[in-house]
Amino acid sequence: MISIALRNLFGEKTRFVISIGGVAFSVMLILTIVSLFRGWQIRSTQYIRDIDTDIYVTQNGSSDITSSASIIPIEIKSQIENIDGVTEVNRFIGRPLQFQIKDRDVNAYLVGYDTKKKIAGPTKIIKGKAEPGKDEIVLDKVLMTTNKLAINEYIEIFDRPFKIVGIAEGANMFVFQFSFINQEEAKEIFKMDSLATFLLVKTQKDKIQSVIDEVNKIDGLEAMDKAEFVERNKRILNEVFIPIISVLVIISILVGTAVIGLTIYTATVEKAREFGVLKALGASNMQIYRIIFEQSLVSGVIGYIVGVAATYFFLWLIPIYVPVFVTVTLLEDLAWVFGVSILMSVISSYTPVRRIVRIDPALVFNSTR
Amino acid sequence: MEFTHPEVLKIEKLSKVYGVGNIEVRAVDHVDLIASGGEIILIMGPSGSGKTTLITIAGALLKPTSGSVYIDGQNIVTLPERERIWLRRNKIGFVFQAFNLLSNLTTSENVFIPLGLSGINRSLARKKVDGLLEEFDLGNRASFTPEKLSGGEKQRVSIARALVNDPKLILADEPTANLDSQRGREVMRLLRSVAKNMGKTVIIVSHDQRLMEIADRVLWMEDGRIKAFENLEADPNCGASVEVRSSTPKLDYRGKKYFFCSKDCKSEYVQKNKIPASYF
Ligand SMILES: Nc1ncnc2c1ncn2[C@@H]1O[C@H](COP(=O)(O)OP(=O)(O)OP(=O)(O)O)[C@@H](O)[C@H]1O
Ligand SMILES: [Mg+2]
Repeated sequence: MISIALRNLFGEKTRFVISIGGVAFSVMLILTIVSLFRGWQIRSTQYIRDIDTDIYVTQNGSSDITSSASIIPIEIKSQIENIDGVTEVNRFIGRPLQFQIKDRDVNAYLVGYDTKKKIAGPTKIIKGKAEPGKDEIVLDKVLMTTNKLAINEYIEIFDRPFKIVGIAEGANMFVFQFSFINQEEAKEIFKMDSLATFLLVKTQKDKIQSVIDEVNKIDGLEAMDKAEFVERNKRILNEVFIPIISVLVIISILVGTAVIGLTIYTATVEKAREFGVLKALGASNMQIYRIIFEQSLVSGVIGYIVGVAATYFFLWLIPIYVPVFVTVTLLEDLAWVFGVSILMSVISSYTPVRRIVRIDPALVFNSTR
Repeated sequence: MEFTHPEVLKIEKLSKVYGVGNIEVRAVDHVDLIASGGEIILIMGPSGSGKTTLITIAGALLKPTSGSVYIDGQNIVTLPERERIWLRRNKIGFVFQAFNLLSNLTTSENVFIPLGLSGINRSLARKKVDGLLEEFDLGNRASFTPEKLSGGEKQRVSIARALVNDPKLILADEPTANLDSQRGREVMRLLRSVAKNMGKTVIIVSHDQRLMEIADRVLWMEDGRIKAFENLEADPNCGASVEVRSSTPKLDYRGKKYFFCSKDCKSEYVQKNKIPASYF
């Protein structure tokens, strides 16, 4: 059958463009928000995923790195070393910290990097060196660009000058970036000589679970494998951001639905007489619904394709202008946003369909026009 | 059900009342009508006499207040809506004053609509559409949208569309009203050939006197009632159609009979034409 729906859609170019634009805009909005969220979720846990360890040991209930609450007495280190299957235990020192660069407040997570054993260092160095010596610091790229810093410049933390010796990338937690000083110096300025933030435990391949069980027996400690630790840190981020993202996504869906709904509705009202003619010629209500539905569906699908294309372009632009944003577009997100576009089509054809039901085919005998 | 009924359309005691109480309008009032295959019936009558209402009911687009309409022996009044839809699609072809072509579809697509609604095999449908367009001299207009067609062409397309599903009954409301005299004549010839060469029953409702040339029977409709046209005469004074009855005011003048709608009209006519008193 020739598609009356397509003819009607392409017959009214302006309206077609508006309706495609509406869907595309909301698809772009949703995908951009979700991609930003995904990127941020993945990149913000990149650093802890890259640390060479099998198990993270934290103070009970303090597995969230954004809070500085985890404090473990260093004596426990040797106790864990004696557990069967443990091959190595390392000390991790780090805490979130606010300091000033050029009179501006900066939030960073300052890591005391164990440069001798090379544990918990920067994920990737793009300039300079990875291992800070005394009074030296490695800063994240985002901190460098947003504060217009250059290598070999000095910044002040706890009234001490630190010389920037390296630029790191990929350790970006969106609200704060990782920076690295030497662990010896960190012990001193954080007053953590006999303390650790976390203990990083490496084990024989098949002993991870048994070691975790053993460590958990020690009072005040909690041990978990890397995947669990990453998951917990993600969850904390999700709790804050998912409600905000949901609201934005719902608004986008409403906007998209309203735009296709309105254009399809006006198109239907304008073509009411023609739908009456179809009814007179023996079209069933079902056949007419199909025309309207096809019209919104095609708008939805084309709008989706245009929206995805626009999103990719937009996401390609973002890091050029706002380096703090990282984006990741997952296939599963493309899939559910496609589902959302279809849903918008279905919802938006509801009102026009209701209108069509009321059209009296007897009106075709009116001589108007 | 391929049983062919000689009476393609039979209307019995059909009435349609719009509104109630003070605003009640008896648009169709006890109408009886029988039309057989190949017959062209023209229904004429003044504006508001109920012509459109009558064929809207006959076309299964409106339910009457009382009475029956049989198409091919089947009473369509009592049919459920689903079957009325089927009937419109397969047994009835409509031709409208306003053509009612779908503006975004081409000529051949417009003709194709009823076939598409029936879900007929594509290549068969194509053959049918192309054949009809050729027959109606529209072959070179097949890919035009309605805005590029003349009024006469539009009406030919709409007649082709009415015929494409091979219905028994064609209902036409003022098919020539939007056309100039030459195009009107083309459409008339076409409607005649639809009845005479294709054996369709054609009911035409119109003000257009020219259509009398092609009609097998002409009926007069007034105040919702149908009268045979032979029993009607025009009042020479006011122009109204007058049913010729014994009680009708009339005048014999120089071998010719005149009929009047009222005594007033008669006396006015007599005065105007200075007809001597001896004639009445
Ligand atoms: N939907 C309606 N509701 C109420 N009254 C109606 C309706 N349709 C028609 N009528 C009335 O019924 C009467 C017959 O109307 P109809 O349209 O059948 O006349 P017609 O003979 O086709 O007139 P015309 O030659 O002007 O087309 C008129 O008085 C009209 O006002
Ligand atoms: Mg009428």
